[in-house]
Amino acid sequence: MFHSKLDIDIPKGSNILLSGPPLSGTSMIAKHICLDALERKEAVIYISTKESGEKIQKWVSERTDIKGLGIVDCISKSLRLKTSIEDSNSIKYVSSSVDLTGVSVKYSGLLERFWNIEEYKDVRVTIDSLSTLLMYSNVQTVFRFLHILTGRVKKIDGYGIFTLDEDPENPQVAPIKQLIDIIIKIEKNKIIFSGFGIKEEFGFEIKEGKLIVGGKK
Amino acid sequence: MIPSGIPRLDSFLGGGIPKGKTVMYLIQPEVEGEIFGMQTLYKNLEEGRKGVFITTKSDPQIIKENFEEYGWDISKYGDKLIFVDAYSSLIGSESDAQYLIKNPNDINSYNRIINEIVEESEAIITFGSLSSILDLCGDDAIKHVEKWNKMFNANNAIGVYNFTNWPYSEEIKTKLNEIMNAVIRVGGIGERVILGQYYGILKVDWLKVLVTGPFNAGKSTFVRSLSTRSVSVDRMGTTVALDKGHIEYEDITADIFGTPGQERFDPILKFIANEAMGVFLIIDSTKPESFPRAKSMLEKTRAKGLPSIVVANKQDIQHALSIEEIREKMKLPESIEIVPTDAVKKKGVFEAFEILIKKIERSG
Repeated sequence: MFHSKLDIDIPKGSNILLSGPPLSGTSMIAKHICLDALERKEAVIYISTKESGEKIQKWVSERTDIKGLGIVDCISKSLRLKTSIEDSNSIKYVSSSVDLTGVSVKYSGLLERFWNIEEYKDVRVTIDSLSTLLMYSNVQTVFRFLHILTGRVKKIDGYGIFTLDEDPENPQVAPIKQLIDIIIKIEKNKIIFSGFGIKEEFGFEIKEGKLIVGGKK
Repeated sequence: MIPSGIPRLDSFLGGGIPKGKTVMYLIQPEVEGEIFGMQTLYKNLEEGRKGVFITTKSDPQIIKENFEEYGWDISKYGDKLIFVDAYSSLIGSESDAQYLIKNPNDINSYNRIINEIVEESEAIITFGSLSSILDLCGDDAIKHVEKWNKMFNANNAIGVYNFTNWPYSEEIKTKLNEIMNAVIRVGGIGERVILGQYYGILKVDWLKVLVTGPFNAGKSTFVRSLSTRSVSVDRMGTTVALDKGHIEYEDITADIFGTPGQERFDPILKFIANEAMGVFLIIDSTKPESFPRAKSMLEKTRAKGLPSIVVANKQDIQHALSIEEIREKMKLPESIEIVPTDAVKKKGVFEAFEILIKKIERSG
């Protein structure tokens, strides 16, 4: 999974919840996990409800090759961040974070694209963040959407990485845990990893935009 | 009939969507299917009809842009297209739509507005996403959808629903299938990644098929053999009024009407043929003397351009004529299929049905 950063092997086809209180850096960690994948020639599909696709693309392009990056942008259209918004090869737009059907159509299109390019057989699908989806739709609706997406991740032997800006123990989001194989909790300067019968803790810090992970605690 | 606007679909529907009926596009998640409802709406705007679009997932302006992305300029239809905005209130933004649903989480909020717009003369009422209305209002919303469908029917309006087939309960799926007149499945092809898409018909309840033929050829038996339920008004073993049957076979549901064979009933034949989409002409393979009468009945229905096939019944009887002999005696061109049957034993009747349905589909 993140071989170069955390020395834990996560089986392919796993769905991972990356949770932490607001401002704890879940988005930053999600982006670094994607960066790591791109550097190893894996494809990344980044479903963004917080930042515009262009901004994410720029952030990644300053660090690595963006050829394997596809973005589903859920905010530019509804906030009218640009005057003319049309899908490009790597950034697809949906009308709003409510439009989960649209999101599923767009990530599926990106999957097809990467599938047709021989070098990208490994794909990571990231949602940043589930919390936004849960603001607009109730938990059953998001559950049904995730049910399809996590199933797709298993079918393609990829990874699903979903950020959540709240405690996954919160009863309001608890049903979603059924679809998740691994939970990574961010606390102050710790990453707590639990799933597949393992529980491990790592130290981490973000320094000048870089994620630095320490050894096991 | 109004067109669905979807290539080839109208022929499967027997020419299009009759007024007062409802069609649901049942769309597999991850498959670009909402274009189906948009296409049906746009096609009918083009033909000068009125349309309504109910949006739950973005404001009307973005829906307009979505239409434009598909190359459809809806701005030119002005007042002919009405937007019902069930999105803006959800996120607390302003709306300039003609109709605003003030509380998209409350199904009664939709009821009021649908009551009003249904009176718009025979409009095409398109739901951008019925699944999201269910998500917002809960499963009980289905009962209201059933009422809306009845209102559409009473007002000659047409209801077009996009529905994303998320993993809902079986109960919801069954109920939805029950309250729609036609259900079209839009699905994806591909094992691991969706590489293409297809559509297929799950249900159509308005196809009508006519069964005709000379006296005592076995029409009632044929209708009975084919039907899952059938009613016949028989007197002394022959039909004086109508046989009516109903068939549910694979994806197709059809009503089957039998006509009496005697010449004095020809007006009934004409009456039914006006509504039918295809015709079975049943003949008694053992009675060549009835063939001229059969031929003239066939000509009457073919004059209306109805797809027809000949069902050569009573093939089990020893001196029955062969298919080739019948074709020769009736001087039938190769383009008219002759299907051998033994209606009493249900032999060949479903094959005949399949051939006729395929012919109806091709003719559209």
